[in-house]
Amino acid sequence: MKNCDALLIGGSAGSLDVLIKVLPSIAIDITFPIIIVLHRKKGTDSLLSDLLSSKTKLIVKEVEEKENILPRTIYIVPSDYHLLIEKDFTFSLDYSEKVNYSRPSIDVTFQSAAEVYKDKLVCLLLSGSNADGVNGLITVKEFGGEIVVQDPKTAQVDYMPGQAILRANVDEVLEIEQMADYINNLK
Amino acid sequence: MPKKVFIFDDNNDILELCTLILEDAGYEIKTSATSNNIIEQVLAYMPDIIFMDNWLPDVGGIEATQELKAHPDLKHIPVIYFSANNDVSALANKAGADSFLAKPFDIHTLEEIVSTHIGK
Amino acid sequence: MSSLPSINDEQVETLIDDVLEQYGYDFTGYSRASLKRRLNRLYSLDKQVSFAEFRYKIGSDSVYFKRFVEQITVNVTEMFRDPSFYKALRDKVLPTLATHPFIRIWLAGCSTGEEAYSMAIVLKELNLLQKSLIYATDINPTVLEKAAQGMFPLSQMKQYSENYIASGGKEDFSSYYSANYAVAKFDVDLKEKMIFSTHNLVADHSFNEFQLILCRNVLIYFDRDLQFKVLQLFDNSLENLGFLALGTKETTDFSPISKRYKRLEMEKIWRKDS
Repeated sequence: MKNCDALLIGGSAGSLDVLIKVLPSIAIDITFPIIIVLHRKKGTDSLLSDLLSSKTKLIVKEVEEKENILPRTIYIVPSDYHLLIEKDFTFSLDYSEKVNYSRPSIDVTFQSAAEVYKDKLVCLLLSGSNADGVNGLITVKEFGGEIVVQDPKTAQVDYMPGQAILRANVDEVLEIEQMADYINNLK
Repeated sequence: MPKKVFIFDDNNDILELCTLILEDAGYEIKTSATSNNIIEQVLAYMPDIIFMDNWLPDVGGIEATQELKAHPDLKHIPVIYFSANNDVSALANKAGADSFLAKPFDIHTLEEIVSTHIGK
Repeated sequence: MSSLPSINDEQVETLIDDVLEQYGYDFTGYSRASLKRRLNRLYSLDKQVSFAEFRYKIGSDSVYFKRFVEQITVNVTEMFRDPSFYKALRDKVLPTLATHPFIRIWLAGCSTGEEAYSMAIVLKELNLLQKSLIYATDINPTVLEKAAQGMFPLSQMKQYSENYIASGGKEDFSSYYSANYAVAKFDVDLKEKMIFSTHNLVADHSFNEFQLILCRNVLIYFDRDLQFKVLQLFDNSLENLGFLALGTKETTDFSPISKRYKRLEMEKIWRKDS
């Protein structure tokens, strides 16, 4: 199965619901970190962390500046910052202009991760009402990574995954029920 | 019959997170991003508890709460006022709310305040 | 169309070396992910045709180099950003400093000045502006010129007003500026206690002693070593019992100065306690 040094999950409206359903079934012996980029407004950071934390036995934490990226940990990008990945596998936060009207922007993190993890990267794009993340998926593919989207038919808002299927050469389209298995099979 | 919670806030993320958290805790939730026709909205749902954000579009949280508290059929419903403004308790008092919740809050505080006022 | 970045890692290093040698600006301590992204952004924005030409232009055209510095550094800012931070300044930090006969504040990385004007407004409302001096510095002379003008887009005022109120401001925010077409020009008296000057956190030394130093969302663009070095610079520039304020996701933890700084509860504000 696909070699994976990092799994990135991006999404907007309707994605939280998916995460709530998938997280409980993710095995605790996965060997890679999971990095979650959700579009959100300021002020809900600890609520989100706490909520996701209650759904899994894996460690869930908000990204800290320059911290090492560890396996078996679920990282959440803080609101109102972009997340970048350094070559030495640490996180860098960035407060530059919004991209696709978003900060955090999924494109920004996917693209940054692609340059670092190259063909050992898996990116999953979920439900959402804009196309932030699609260009990111394209970049990930160019670096040899694997790109996966939520089946638009099951997405609360199908625009984001729909655009990805249209414009990026998506490797897999998954129903919510298939996601945990897919993730647990990555090595 | 699950107890009913009505949340008024113009921040969709807050609405979504609170809904997920409180549904997990066994409550039924309704949300609204506006205080327009607040009396009609609340009469139609008859919640057991209401969360009211300070910054609501149309009629602000203070006025909306005052309207609710002036209505004979609705004034008994506990209203919890929330705001990121550090003067939240003063605002809550001014509105005539029953209690307040300062933003940002965490899951535990949210669940506790609901169960304190209306049980599980 | 390939979405691969036009400038690769080696080319980033080449530019950094060029710029250091040619202009003396040292970007070697900047975090590479962000720098690379800014470089690629500039390359696209200016529709550069080849790396060689881009490199040549930066090295030989000093006017273009000015633009280079402006675009490489991040200048995104807003007034009363993170209102709870300004609330803490208003309620805890500044009242403590009020006992000093004179208050010197350093705003490092002030960009186009929004933070400086926010600070001036809070000081004015606390009746402390008269005995304060705000040193607003930045690596970038162009943004300092803008900051000195005190003019911001009118379209931002609604957001700034909301931030101001959330930070505990009780006045009418619009009383601090006059609107003209699409521009809000802030009152001249706010600017009277501001000194704008260029300062490069990497290269320049301490230039005064302050009771309050703010440097918010600047350190995130530096690597760990440079962050520690800059924190040391701040430590050298801060009076004992003075305050150091960083951005919401920044910290003094793990740095050489951390043991002598005690953090105020909820915010990224530390008090020096040697």
